[in-house]
Amino acid sequence: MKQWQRAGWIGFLVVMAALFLVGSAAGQETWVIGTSADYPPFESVDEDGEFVGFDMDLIREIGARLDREVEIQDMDFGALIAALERGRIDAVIASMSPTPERRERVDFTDAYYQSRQGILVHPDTDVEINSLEDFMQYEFAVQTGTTMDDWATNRVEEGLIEDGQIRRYGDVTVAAMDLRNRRVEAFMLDLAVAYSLAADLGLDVAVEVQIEEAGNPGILLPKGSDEELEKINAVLAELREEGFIDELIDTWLRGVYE
Amino acid sequence: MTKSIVSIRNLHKSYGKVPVLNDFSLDVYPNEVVVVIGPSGTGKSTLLRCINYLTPFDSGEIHLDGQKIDPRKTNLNHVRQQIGMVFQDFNLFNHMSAFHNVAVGLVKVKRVNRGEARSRALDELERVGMLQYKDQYPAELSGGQKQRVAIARALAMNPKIMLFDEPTSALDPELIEEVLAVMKSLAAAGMTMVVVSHEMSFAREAADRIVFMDQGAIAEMGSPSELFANPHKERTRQFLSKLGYRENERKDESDG
Amino acid sequence: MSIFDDRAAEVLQSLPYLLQGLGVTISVTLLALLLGGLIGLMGALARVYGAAPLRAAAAAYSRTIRSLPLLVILFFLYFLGSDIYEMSVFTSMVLALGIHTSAYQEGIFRAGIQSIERGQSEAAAAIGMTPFQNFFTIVLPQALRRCIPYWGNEAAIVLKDSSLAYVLGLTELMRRGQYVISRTHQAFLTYLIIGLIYLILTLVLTRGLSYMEKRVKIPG
Repeated sequence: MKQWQRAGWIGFLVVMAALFLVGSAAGQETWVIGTSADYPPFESVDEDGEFVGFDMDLIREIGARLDREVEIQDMDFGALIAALERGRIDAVIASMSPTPERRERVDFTDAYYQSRQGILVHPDTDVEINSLEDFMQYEFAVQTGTTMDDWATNRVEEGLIEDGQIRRYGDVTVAAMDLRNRRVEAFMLDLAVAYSLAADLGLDVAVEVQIEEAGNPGILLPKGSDEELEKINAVLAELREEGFIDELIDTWLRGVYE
Repeated sequence: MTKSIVSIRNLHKSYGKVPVLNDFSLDVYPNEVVVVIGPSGTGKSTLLRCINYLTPFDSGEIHLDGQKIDPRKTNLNHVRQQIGMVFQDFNLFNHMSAFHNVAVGLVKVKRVNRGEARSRALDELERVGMLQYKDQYPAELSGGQKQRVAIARALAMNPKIMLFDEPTSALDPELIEEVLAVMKSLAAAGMTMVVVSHEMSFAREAADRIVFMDQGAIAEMGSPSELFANPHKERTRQFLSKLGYRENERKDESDG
Repeated sequence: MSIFDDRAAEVLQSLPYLLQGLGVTISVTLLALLLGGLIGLMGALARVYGAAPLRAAAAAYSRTIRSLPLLVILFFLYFLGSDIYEMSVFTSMVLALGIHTSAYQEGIFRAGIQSIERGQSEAAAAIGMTPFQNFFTIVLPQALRRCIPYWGNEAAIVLKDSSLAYVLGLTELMRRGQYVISRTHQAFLTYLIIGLIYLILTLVLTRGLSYMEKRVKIPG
């Protein structure tokens, strides 16, 4: 009987600890920014557990200029818009470009950089890709929910490619690993990310392209936040003019956009 | 006329359409030992289980010590403390030692302080000759030992009456006598008892009254000497002769 | 492809960082198990001893929760639940996982309670125990002993399920692993390490429980 009593006490302490954690999580007035920190060089987590990357530097600077304390909240890319809609976060910066579907649910600020795509291939391969037309001949990978995914889906609707050619991955690294293991022939993704993966995993960027679906990434705000949109767009214009964004490109995407 | 300890009046009980107790009435008086016998399926166990309300019945009344038990008004848990029950399958609490089996009712139900509960539990174990096994768990005891602990458990509550539901029928023959010996000493000490059992040696030696039950009612009732020597009804005679036959057979085995 | 790439060292250096996620993983697991245990026990009580409407309600709860993927419960709480009370990812995950496991723990506890012979509670009633004393003194201690191995399986499942919180960015073990992967691109080695950590946790858990099982085993 003693054992059960002891277990009861331990249970009680655990519940108290939980209540404490729940209590301390509430409160605090900050600007909560959602991102999906598995997409270097735009957003990732460094050795010290800090959120780093192009987008992170940008949003912190914007926060500083608007006199707000930025709190980064990381989650799965696919959960970001839902979290914004439900008011769990105040804005999203995740290298996300506007699409008609997304525009129906959220507002986008002006673009903060020109997105381009790269097509990754295995270095020892007879896969020949010099253009998007060539790319469409192969079995290829895209990341789920990205504009590259939209591009592929649209081409299927146009009858230019078969749905069976598309391999959709949740995670870019996993897709790149499959490319390296030759389970897939090519992989289209954001150019900067493509170069970073190519360097780390010994892959080649066969060609740089620009797809029409890829508008240029902006910051996402809840639908109907006109005033906030104006404020942030003004700051973005300021930053562009002052050369701050070019500095970020230099820091994070050097060698990619020359 | 002495006041009865338990008075059972016009008890009716049926399972679905099958009647089990059919207008059963019986008074049990202080210090009396009543042995209930009869063919199987005739409602003997149900009768005992109705007395302490383990099994609800359709109509009739139970009076304990002159007080009518009304399950809506009377606290049945309080009633059951005063009625000890010993089961055919012992039903010792498997996760408790013999000592704890006896002490748990004192501590949890009677709210006796631990020291007193301890000495009373040890006394009861001694009374049934199980003191040396106090730290054994039920799975480590023989059937006869288990039943003796079960008797001690019931006695610890200091009941006004003890009910025994075929206390020896789940036991190997060689273990029966140790349980009967405990029951006989209880009877000799003046405990009021209702015993459902076919152990003729116990009935002859300890019973004040034998109740022959058939089809949910009392078919015949009398002192052991009357009933065994001179049963009035043919059914009683037949039943007794069958029992006697079994008794002799067992005796032969042990003699041989 | 070789596991020990030139960036492998970087993964190994990230081990302390990964291990920091352990606290979150363990607290989510323990709190969810506790919450699920309480709900599960009440559900089991309702289904074994409750009146017909209560039994039906408890059975419907259990069936519904079992048919919902954990992710659906988590999103439901985190996104829709925020209309009622805004809770952190941690709280949402504890609640979601607790509710999820409660349906399975209910089944474990119910089987345990029903496996205790009727004679045990009859004997307890016969010495005058109230139904409450009867259950907590006689039935439950025996039932829980029989539940331990099954409960251990469920606890191991909850431990692994706790990793699902990564989709909302709870920085437990799994999410930290993903950070390391996107930084180093060493998926295989990182997952291998995470797998080993989960293996060790599961071993500690099951060993602990079987030690406990032996400690509380009824002699004989």
